[in-house]
Amino acid sequence: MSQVKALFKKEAIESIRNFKLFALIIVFMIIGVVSPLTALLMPDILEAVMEDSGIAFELPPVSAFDSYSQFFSNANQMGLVILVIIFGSILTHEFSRNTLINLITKGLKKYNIILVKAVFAALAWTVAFVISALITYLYTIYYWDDEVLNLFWAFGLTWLFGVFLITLIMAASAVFRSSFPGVLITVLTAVIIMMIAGIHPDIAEFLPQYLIGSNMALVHGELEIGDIIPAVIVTIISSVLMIVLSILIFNKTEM
Amino acid sequence: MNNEINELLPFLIPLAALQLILMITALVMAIRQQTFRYLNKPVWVLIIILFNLIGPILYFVLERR
Repeated sequence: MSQVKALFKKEAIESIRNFKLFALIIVFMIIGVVSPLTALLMPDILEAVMEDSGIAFELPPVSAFDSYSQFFSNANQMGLVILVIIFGSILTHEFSRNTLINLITKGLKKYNIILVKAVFAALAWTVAFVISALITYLYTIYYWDDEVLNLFWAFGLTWLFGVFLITLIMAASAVFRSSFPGVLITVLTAVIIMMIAGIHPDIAEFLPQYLIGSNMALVHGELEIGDIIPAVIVTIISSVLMIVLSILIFNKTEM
Repeated sequence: MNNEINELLPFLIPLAALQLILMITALVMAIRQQTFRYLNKPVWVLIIILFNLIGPILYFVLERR
């Protein structure tokens, strides 16, 4: 237990000192502000484009749905990319600087390293994402009063996918050790493979990818919570598997 | 047009403030840093100023490990 505490403290101090936590939170705050702003400006932008090209049709008024749909497209694309870039080196930089050897020879359990790092990254991601979602939510209820459905679940899906990505980073880091590009490429490959597999409609429903594709369908009420449960279960199981796998691989690596 | 900008101020002020905070912290750190892993000080300062959001993030990820 004292090992866990000390490691956790080390992670926290490190990410505060190198400003990664700070950068992550600021970026997600920006996403939280930009999303309702884009929704608000969209009619003006579209109008300008349509005037130029000579198309004319009546635009539907901006609603809370537009605001959330902007939020999900920002958070699911830019947000997750920045999450992977910032936390991709959480384990690899320890290998490349050989900072773990001393600790391990002094009796630090290897699985504790993986667990603490994964939990810390997940915690940081939770804080950043909750702040961002809260900002968008507050702006949205201030400007629009549409009835939206399953909002909490819709936010939860993107959060869960972020946690899944973090466990993927841990597994990839255990394999590639000191190579940060290796981790990035692995995560990218995994996402692309899931996208290709998702073309088949029967498989798509069970992929983690399904989570970040169905936020808006949930908010609109086109999907029920029951419809996404299989994908949620698959994602949770594969996250746990990734952590177990990374501990197994990490135990076998010589420092 | 003036009215429209006033309407958007509740968005624009926090947005500008957040970007400024990010840029200034990265700038201060880059200027105080002596040795760089990639590139050099003037180039990093330019990158941080010219590419808002992406510039500071790149700096934090690449230079502050």
